[in-house]
Amino acid sequence: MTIQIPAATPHPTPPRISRRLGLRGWVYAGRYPAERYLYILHRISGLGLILYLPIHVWVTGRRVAGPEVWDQTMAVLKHPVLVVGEFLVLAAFIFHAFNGIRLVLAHLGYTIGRPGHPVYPYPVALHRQRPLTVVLMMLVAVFLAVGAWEFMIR
Amino acid sequence: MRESRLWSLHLISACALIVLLGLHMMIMHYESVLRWLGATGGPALAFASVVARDRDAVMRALYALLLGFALYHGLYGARGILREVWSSPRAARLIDGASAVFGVAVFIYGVVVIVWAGRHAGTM
Repeated sequence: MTIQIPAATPHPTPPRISRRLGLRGWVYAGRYPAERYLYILHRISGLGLILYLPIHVWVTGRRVAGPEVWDQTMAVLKHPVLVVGEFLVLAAFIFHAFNGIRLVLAHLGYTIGRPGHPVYPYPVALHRQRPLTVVLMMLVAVFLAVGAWEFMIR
Repeated sequence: MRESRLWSLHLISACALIVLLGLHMMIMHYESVLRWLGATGGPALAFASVVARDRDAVMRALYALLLGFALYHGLYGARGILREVWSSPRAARLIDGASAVFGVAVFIYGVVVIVWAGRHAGTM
């Protein structure tokens, strides 16, 4: 008596699922600590600054056309929407600079502590750096407040 | 090796920008604070003040450095973000090339303006 072993059925090909989150990953993809959102804001402020820079170079280059053209350009820049935009550029720089200080220090290995054994409660570099993060964000708030006051008294 | 050098230059430009761009922002947007600290001079955006800065060779050099560091740091960062979104080798070459061409073009324009303004400051 021979035993018929049925031929193995081929596994069905799994559907191609892209696990890349793309820009959705900038918003939420699980347990994001606060520092993750600071990093996303760092990217957004950086993109804003690099998009602003060529326009700024062109506008400031208008001074070669003489004082009348310069004064006209400055008058255009006094439009409320553009004043708000200018404040946003200042805010982007303040945040990007102070958060960048945090990132440079972390990249060079400072303020994040030494590697430790994975013994509960597990040491986490973000937690070690959190006091510095809080201080830097407070400095951002102070500079933003003073900058906003300067814009209002202009 | 090339990428690690580019990244190191990104960090160096970041440190330089904290100083240079920080000074630029203080002069442009924190005039009251500077006056309280004892600084003198007219409004930063008045044409006379702009011409005075254009006449100073040190200020012209600092502006050129600021422009160079800002363009490099910004375009390197934007290049990284764009290469994450479009990650094929062809897209990477396009992004790198476009960033380099754009950065060099804006830098040349900015330096030409700085040099021209320095030569003609006070005669405009």
